[in-house]
Amino acid sequence: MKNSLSVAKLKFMDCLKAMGIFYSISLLLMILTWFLSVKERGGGYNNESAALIFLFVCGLNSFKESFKFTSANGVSRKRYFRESLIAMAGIAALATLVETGLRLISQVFTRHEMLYNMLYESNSIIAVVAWTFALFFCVSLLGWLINLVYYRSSALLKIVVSLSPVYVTILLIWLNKLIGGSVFIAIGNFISFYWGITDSNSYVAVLNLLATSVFFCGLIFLLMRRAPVKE
Amino acid sequence: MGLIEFRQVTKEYGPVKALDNASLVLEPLKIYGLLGRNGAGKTTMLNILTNKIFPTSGEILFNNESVIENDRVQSQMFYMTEMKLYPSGMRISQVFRWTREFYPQFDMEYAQALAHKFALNLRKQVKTLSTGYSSIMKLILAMASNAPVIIFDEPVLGLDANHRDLFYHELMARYNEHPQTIIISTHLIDEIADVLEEAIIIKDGRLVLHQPVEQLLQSAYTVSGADAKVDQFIKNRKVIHQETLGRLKSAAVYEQLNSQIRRDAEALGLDISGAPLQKLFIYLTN
Repeated sequence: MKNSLSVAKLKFMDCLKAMGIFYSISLLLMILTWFLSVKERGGGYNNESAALIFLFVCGLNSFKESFKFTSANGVSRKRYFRESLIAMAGIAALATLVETGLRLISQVFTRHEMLYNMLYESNSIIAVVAWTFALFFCVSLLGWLINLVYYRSSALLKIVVSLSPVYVTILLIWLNKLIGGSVFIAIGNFISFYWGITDSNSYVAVLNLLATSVFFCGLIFLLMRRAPVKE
Repeated sequence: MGLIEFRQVTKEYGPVKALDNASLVLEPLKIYGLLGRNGAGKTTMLNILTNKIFPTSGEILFNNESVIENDRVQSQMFYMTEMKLYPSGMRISQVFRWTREFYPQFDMEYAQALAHKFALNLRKQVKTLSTGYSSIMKLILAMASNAPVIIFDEPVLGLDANHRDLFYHELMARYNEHPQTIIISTHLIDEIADVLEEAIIIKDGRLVLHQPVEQLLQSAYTVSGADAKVDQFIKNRKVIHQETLGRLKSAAVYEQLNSQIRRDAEALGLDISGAPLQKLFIYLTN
């Protein structure tokens, strides 16, 4: 019988090294910002956007190599999927923890501008942690999903997928003009609802992000189910 | 009852049938040679068995359980594949440690001893390995995995003669100590002939033969001597290969050897010996 959670361990360890480098640089930048803010009075520091990009890239890079390696070790796709989710939740949780820690430290020295504070009035630590975790987890799953779509696609389909944001944007602009601006208004309303901005309730965003994560998981599972192992 | 059973397995890539209705039963604790020309379907068969790809139709059983997406079954097999599946930035020592995570019965001491014998530097990264050393790393992983079934796909790819010899020697020593079911897919048939117990020959995705090697070798013989005498002997016989060197000639004949044939050959002053497996393979796959 195989060791349980070996895949999760592999994926978690893989990201942990990159995370260590990322947060070392973040800490360094935070200290630099603090020095500059002392001189210039009132400089702020925001690491969440960088963390968001980092977790997205983590998700992007986490699939192919680990999938091939675990497949070489007789791991089924179902097990890979299950344990990868555990690893990604772990990575998102750790990143949330570090971000919260950084926030608490940086608030002492600088004016810390969190993404969360820009969107919501509440400052409850539980709400911030839940929101950050849901966002990080969702973004890393998006990275995994995009990588998987490319992995499963033929050369032609890869081009189609790469260009899809361009023609979706063109289509939306065209539709918006056609209907007299109501498409963008609807999108704006949807974004406000999705992020809970309308009621300034971050828990609405948490629920929506988790629902999106479940949707991404479904797509990932379908794409993984019969994914061939290729070099 | 077989350990591994292929039941009418077909794999199609568009209009091409890489495997065509293949049925096969493999017994436990034997060494099988999966032989076939390039593109015959050997790797497809092994890839399906180990879930790298899925069959279009048919089923593959391991101890009567489907192998498809079955972790319990897959953990009973170690597949040394030609594919580059190991993380390029990982050190060999790390590859060993992670393999032990997935195969808890992995024999680390044995793996390290083999690495020493093959002069494989454990501190090297996977991406820095030559083709030969990449094969050696995978050979070591397979042999030290202690999985009940070990599958080798072109195990000696890029290995020099010394390393190939060392591999065959170590494989047999390990097998004698811990008998396992071993499947070897290779092109170097003559080299591996002494190691194999049963030969499975596959051609254009179809299984054309599955026989004990000893029995297969008895189905042909080589006769050699003066060219005129050899020509006289092989007249009206099924010749699968012939070679002439000056006035000497040797011919491989596809026919069961018996005492009458021996007497006929001796009467003409010809020598009779066993036919090489490779010649038989070429004949059977052409």
